[in-house]
Amino acid sequence: MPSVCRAMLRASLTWMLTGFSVAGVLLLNKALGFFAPIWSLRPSHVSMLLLGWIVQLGMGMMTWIMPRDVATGDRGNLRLVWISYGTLNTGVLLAALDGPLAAALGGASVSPIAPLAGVLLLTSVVVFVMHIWRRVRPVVPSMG
Amino acid sequence: MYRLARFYVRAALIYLAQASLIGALLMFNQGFALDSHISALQPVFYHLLMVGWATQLIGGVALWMFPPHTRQRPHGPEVLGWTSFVALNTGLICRAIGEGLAAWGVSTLPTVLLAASAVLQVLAAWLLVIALWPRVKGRITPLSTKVAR
Repeated sequence: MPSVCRAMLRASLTWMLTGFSVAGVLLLNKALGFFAPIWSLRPSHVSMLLLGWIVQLGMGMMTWIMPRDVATGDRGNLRLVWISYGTLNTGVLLAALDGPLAAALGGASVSPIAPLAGVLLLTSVVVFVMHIWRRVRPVVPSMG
Repeated sequence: MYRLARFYVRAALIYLAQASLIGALLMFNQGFALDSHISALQPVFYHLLMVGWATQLIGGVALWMFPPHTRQRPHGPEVLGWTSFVALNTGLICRAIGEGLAAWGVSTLPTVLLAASAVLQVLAAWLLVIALWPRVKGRITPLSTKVAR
């Protein structure tokens, strides 16, 4: 498993832990009602689990197992996947921080954090698709 | 595919069916206004789909396909995966019943069930990550096998 796949899978497992832990606190708060403002973490938990955990794990697994180049046997330009990894995780982090920061600042209606997170997440997906598109093809059995 | 992975994947399929059933019920309720309490099942629908189906399917496939822990114990300590499986599914069932009872106005029991669900699902996530983390690695070489011993 190449290092970029390991980085993506480990990051996705880390987001899973973080997202589930936040979700656990939210559900405990729903049951026991100990701190109402904590509800502002709900969008963060969705971003962490949907993008950080599930989408990133899918990307890491695809980079690992999709067919390689027939002639060279390599996985193509993995720099693109590193860029995707960096932008995705920064985007998820910013998206996760947006709700709590807005709540802390008294519900500011205009914030650059969410749009920046959106640009980063879009960049991540576009760059990843650019890498993986050519690898979606039938496996040619090696003749050796 | 070994037994634990099969349990994860089959349980995921059962949650997919359950979530689809609740999803259909929610849509019928939206169209025909059957009962106002039914719309409170929306969080149950999303969680059965995203945790019961998606997360559990990913967990099962990852336990099956990730590189072996060591040559001697390719799946690592299976007790982690089994405990996570039981905690995740018990937690999800507590969630579904708790949300349902809360929607129909039952007072004390939903609190206990939702709190138990929170603890069990967080525990399940931690155990699954502990089980999978050492298996996120490159190829096993004879040297790393020696080190693993």
